Amino acid sequence: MKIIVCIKQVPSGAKVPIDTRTGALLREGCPSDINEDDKHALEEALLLRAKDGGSVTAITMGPPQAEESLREALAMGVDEAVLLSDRAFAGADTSGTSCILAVAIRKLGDFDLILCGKQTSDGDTAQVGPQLAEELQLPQITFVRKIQVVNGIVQAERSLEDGYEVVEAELPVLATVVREINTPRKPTIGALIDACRKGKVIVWTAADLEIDRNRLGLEGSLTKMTRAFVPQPKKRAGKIYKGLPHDAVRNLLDELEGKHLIG
Amino acid sequence: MDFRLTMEEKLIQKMAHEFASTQIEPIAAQIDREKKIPREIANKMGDAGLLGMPLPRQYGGSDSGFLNWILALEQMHYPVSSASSFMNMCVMVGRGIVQFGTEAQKKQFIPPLCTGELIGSWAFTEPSTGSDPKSLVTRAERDGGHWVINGVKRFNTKGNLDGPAVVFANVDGLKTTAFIVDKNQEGYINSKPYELMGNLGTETVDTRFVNVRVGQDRLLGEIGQGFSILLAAAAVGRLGLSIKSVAMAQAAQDEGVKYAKQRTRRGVPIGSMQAIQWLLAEIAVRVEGARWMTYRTAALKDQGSDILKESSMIKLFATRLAKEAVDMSMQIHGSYGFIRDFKIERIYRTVKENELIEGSSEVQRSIIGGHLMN
Repeated sequence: MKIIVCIKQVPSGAKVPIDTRTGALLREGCPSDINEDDKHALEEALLLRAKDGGSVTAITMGPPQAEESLREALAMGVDEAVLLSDRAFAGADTSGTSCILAVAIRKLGDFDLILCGKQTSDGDTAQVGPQLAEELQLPQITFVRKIQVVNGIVQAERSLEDGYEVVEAELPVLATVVREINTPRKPTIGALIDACRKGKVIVWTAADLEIDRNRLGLEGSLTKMTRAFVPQPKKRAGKIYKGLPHDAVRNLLDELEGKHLIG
Repeated sequence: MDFRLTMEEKLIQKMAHEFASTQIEPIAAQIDREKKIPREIANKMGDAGLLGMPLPRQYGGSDSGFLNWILALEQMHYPVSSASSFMNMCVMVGRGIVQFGTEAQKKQFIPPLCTGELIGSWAFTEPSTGSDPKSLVTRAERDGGHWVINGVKRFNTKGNLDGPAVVFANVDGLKTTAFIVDKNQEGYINSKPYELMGNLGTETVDTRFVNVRVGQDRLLGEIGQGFSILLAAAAVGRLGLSIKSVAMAQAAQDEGVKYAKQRTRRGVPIGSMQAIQWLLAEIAVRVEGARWMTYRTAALKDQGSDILKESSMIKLFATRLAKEAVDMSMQIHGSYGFIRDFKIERIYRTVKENELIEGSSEVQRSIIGGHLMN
């Protein structure tokens, strides 16, 4: 079974500056990591490979520094890594991103399963997975918490707000996974070193892909960022209980009990 | 000259940071309070490939090189300096066996050191000798095809945990010779761990050797080669101790900045005052200076240098700067820094040790001076 996992490098620090003109996150130089949900997608692909055989390819679109995340994916155990990187891709929204990913995945050839994380921690849209399925005309199963492949049929449990549902689809399929599906493995030092020294990362630019130039980057995006800002924390009134500590604590407890917040 | 870290170096740094934040930081205060490092932390380090990083892949290491090792150690020492002593001991003992041991010794000892199944130690210092090999009292005598070792070793770090100890003894007069001794074998007798001022949990003991018998296969290197083995391992040990000093100084800086932002006087954070900012600036300069000189020394080691002089230089430099930086951070904390609840108290109690062990600052000056006069 050939599995493709879409991953994204996201900022891991608490503070990421925003370009107030374009609304884009200024990621360069910020500490970064593989998006957490995508780590679970990688792990699930590796588990499926261990069970059913085949290969796992990790693919990402991003600046050159996104190669770091692909090296980490190689250290986790994926067989192949592909970086889609070009200045022309910069500023793409989710539709632009899924369009480029779809073209690159077609170029990779036949595949059975595409796994994505449910959503990313920076954009938070949860749109790329479903949009990619549409671009590739694939059945999609979102919010997957359990998955197996039996005789070419994907059987998956989808997380719902009040439970889960079991769905089936014929391969090829795109699935987005939630974090409860597994616990991602941590690469060892030796695996990281091998990934950096021996692992191969294929880099494709816009010139390597047969793609409609009008759909690239900021200009080709369907959505436009009109304003970006960091919200100011709201000031809350607060209340200070004065007096001796014992009295102040007693007064606080009395008030909480009076409001039936504690009992 | 490119001072940027490579992708590999950055990824190793990040991985070690994650390990330290999730596995060590949560128990840092507990280790200090209970004076005990949970034994399983060594196994976790082994599973992650952290213990034997620069040792050869064929024996269970990762062939990481020493700069990568230093970058990982810096992260690992940051939460609490004692826990990562497992990494130092593994590499000091493992490297000694790699460099001077037989193929059989490498295959027998290095893999379990790298996994954390066995913990190595290094028994050189004696009650009356300090760092002088010519004054060793511990002796090894031939008895048929065996050696019989008698003597006492002081400050045998991790000497009470199962694994191989590299023991230095004099043979045929003053021929300093190294032997590999199992720490659980008959005649290997430990004292209670010392009550230390800081770096708590490292478990340093005195060890008596009473007719400890080892076979010829436990001779490390050749008869009389002990001092060369000691020098090579000491250079690696000093490198490790230097980055430990850097990590402690960085922690002191971070604690100082945090406190200076939180603590207010007359309604403004004390960090807005010039007196505090100057202290923080002095700390930061020391951290950066010590850090990059340590990185350079590690890079020299990777390029094939024996770093006998350079490791002494950075050990002298980094340990002093760290002590000064920690003292300044303590001053920023005022009386609060003297309370156990504050991390700077633990760092302050520990940082002085770095100037005393693995050859005191005075020994380092003598080594550097000796190199300059040759």
